[in-house]
Amino acid sequence: MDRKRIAGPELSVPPLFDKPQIVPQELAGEGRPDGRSPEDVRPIFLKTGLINQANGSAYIELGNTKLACAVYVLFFPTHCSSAFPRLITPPPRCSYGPRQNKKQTFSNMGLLNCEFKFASFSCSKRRGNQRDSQEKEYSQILSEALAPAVRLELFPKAMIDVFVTVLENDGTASCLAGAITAASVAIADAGLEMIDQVAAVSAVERSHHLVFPQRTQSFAKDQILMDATSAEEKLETGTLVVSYMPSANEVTHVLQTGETEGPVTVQAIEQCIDACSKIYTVMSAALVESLKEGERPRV
Amino acid sequence: MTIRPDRRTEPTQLRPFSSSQNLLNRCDGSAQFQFDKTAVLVSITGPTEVKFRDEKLDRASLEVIVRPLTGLSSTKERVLENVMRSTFANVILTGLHPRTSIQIVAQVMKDDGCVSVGSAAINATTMALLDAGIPMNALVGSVTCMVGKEDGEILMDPTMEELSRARSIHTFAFDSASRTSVMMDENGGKGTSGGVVLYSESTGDFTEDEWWLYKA
Amino acid sequence: MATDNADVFRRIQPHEYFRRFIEQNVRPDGRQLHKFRKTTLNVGAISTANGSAMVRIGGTTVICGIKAEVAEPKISTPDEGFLDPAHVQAHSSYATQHAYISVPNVELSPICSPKFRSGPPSEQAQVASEFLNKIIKISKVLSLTDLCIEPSKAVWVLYADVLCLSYDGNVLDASLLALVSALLDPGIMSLPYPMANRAPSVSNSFPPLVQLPKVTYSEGIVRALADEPVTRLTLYRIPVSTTLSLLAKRLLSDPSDAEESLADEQVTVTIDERGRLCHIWKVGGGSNTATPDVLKECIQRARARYGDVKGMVERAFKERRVVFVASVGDETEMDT
Repeated sequence: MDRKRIAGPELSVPPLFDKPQIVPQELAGEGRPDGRSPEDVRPIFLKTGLINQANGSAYIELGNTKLACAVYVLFFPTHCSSAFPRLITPPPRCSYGPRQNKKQTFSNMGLLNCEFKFASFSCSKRRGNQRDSQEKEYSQILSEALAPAVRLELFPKAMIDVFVTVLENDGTASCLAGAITAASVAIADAGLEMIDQVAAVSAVERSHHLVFPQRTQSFAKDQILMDATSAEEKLETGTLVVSYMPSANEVTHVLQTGETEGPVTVQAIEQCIDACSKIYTVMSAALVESLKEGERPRV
Repeated sequence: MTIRPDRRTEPTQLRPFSSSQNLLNRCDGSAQFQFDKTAVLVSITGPTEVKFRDEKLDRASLEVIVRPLTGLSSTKERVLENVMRSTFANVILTGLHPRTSIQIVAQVMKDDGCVSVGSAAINATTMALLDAGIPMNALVGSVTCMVGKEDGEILMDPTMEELSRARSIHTFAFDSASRTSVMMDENGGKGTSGGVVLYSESTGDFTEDEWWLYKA
Repeated sequence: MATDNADVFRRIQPHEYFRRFIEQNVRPDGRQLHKFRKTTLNVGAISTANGSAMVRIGGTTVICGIKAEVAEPKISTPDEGFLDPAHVQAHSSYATQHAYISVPNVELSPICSPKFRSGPPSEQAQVASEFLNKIIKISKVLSLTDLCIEPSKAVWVLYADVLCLSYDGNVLDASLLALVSALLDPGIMSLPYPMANRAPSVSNSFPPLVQLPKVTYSEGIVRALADEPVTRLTLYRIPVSTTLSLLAKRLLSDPSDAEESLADEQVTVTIDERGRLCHIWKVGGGSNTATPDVLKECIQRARARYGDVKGMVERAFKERRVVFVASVGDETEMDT
C-alpha cells in the first residue's frame, strides 16, 4: 500500500456502460471515423519552452493525444574543463552542479536517462501512480531511439534527464511516437548538439480477416492506418513505431509488435518514413519559432 | 455554566496537562507532554553528524520524524513533520551549529482526537529541546481550540467527543519572546459568521493563549 | 557586464538581493508586492478524464484530472483518511454506508523542476495532497450522500490527481484552483467514451454542477446508462486559496519559487464564495512579523483575490475551449 499518497479504497472499478458508443462497422469500413485517409497523420501542434524551469521543453498534440516533455542537463564544469577544453562554456540554458543521488561510475559519454509516464487520468482506464512495466519499456525505447541523434561524446560525465508525461492518450502507439518527437525537440531546445532531429510516427496494421471474418480470402488485404486513435487500435493486429532522422536519412528505432505479413510491414515502414519527413517540417518550424521568441529568463 | 463531557466547568479550561523530561537515556534530550488522554514523547539527538545531502554551510539542519500511535506513518504525519520543522527552524538558534543536524523524533503515545496531537507534539518538543540544552531564542507553546456548531462558543482544548460538534478547529502555536503566533492551522466549518468575525474570535483565543503561556 | 554582476549577486547573496528590491516596493520580476501573477484557467481539455482543468499562475502550471470509479463503501478505519474523524463520530453508521470517497493527490514529478526527483512523492507533495484533502473533507465542499449509488453497496470514488508540469512557486493555490475547477467541469462524468463528442449541454452556467452518469445497481453490478440524464452533484462551497509569503518583514502575494525558498513564513488563506473562511494555514516564524494586523491584511488580500478568481472562472466556463495550449493568446486570462 502506498503510504505517501492519500489512500483510496482497496478496490474500485470504472462503471459498466450498457451501450458501446461507437459502432464497430464505422471503424471497420474503408474510411476512418475522423475522415482521414489511411496514410494521413493527425494534425500536430508542437511548441517549445512551456516548462520554464527546464533547460529545454516541448509540448505536443497529435489530435487528442497530448504530452509534455522536459529536459534537464547537469554538468560538472570544474572536473571536465581541463580534460575537455570545449566544455569550458557549456551549452546555453544548462545548469551546473553535481548530480545527486545517482551512484554511477565515470562515463566518457554523457548519459541519456529517459522517464516516460502516463498521467493517471490520461487513459480510458485509470493508471496507477507508480511506474508500471509498460512505462519502463517505453522509457527504454525512448532512450534507444534518441541516443543515436545526440552527440553524447561531447558531454562526458554529464547527465541528460528526459522526462515525458502523457496527459491524454488517444492511441498508445502514438503516445510513444509523440514522446520521441517531443523529446528530440526538447533536447534541441536545451541547446545540446545533435546530429539530426528524430521524428517518429506510429502505424497500425490490421487484417481484414479479423475485421470481416465472413468475407473471402480474395477480398482480404491488410490495411495500414497511420497514427491510429485508441478506437482504431482496438481492432489492430499489429503496431509499428518508426523513429527516423530525416536529414541523415537513418532509421534510429523500429518497434513492431503483433502479427502482420512481411511485405505489409515493409510497406508500412516506408509509409512511416514518408510521414516522418512531414513531421520534421513541423519540428523545424517549432524550433525556429522558439528562436524568434529570444532567450527566456532563466531561473 | 456549562459542564463539558470530561467534567471541565469552563470553556476556557484546559485538560490537566503534564510534562516530564529526561525519560530516555540514549538520546541527548527527551520529554513527554500530556493533555489528559493525548500524549507525545519526543527525543532529541543533536547537534550531531549530518548527512552530506542535508548539510547546510551556515546552520544546522533540522530533521523531524513523527511516528503515529499505530501502523506506519502516512501523509498526515508528514504534514505534522513539515509544520514542526518550519515552526522550530527559526526558534532554534541553528546558526550556532553549522554543518550539523538536530534530529527530533516524536512518538505518539496516547491519542484522543487527532487534532490535539499536534499541540502536544510541539509542547513536548519545546520541553525536550530544553532538556537537550539546544539554544533557542524563545519557548514555543501550542494549544487547540474549537468553535461549537450550535452555539458558536469557543472551547479550549476539545476532546474527541467535543470535536464531533465542531464548526471549526484551530491550532495555534506562540513563542514566549514576541508573543506572536508562530504556527496556525485553522479548519473552518460551514457556518462561520463572516471571516472578520472569525478572525477576531481567533484573536480572542490569541490573548487567552498568551495568558496560558504565562502560566506555563 | 552589469547584467552578469546582478546575476552573480543574486546567486551569492539571494537574501540581500531580494531585500534591496523589496525596499523599493518591487520584486525582481517587476511585480509590486501585492500583485499576483497572470493566472489562466482552461477546463475540460482532457477527454479521457471525467473532469479536468489546467491552471497557470505565472510560471507554475498544474493539471487536475478526475477519474470516477465505483467502490464498496467499506470504511472500517476512520483514521486512515477517507473521511474526517469528526464526521464518522457523528454519523458513524450513516456515513460509512452512504459516503463517497474522494482521493486528491498532488504529484510534483521531476518534469516540473530540478528540485524534485523521480520516485515516491516528496514531503512537499504529500503536504500539498493533505492540504487539498483537508479542504475538501473538513470544510465540507462535497456532500457525503450525493455520490452514493446504493447504500452500503456501492459509492463513487473520485480520484483527483493534480499533476504539476512546471513549478515556479505557489503550487497550493494552483492545485486547489485546478481541483475545484475540475470538479466544476460540466463535462465531468458525462463522457462515457473518449471518442464521444463533448456536449456540455446540461449545465453551462456558474456555479455549475458535477455530473455523474445515471447508474443502476443490481446483483452487485453497477451499470451506467449512457442515454439517461446524468446525476448531478453540487459543490456546497467553492474554496479559493491565496498564498502570501513574509520576506524581509513585508507581505508578498503569490510568491514565486525563489521567493518561497527565501521566505521566513508563509500564510495560505482559503475562503469560499460567501466570504467565509475555510482554512488558514501558516507555517514558519521567528521573525516577529506575524502580528494580528499582518494576518488581517492577509485575509483582506485573499478577499480581493477571490473576486478576481471568481470572475476568471466564470469566464473560463462561459468560453469553454477544448483547445489546450494552441490558443495561449485567447485563453481566459486575468491580470491583477
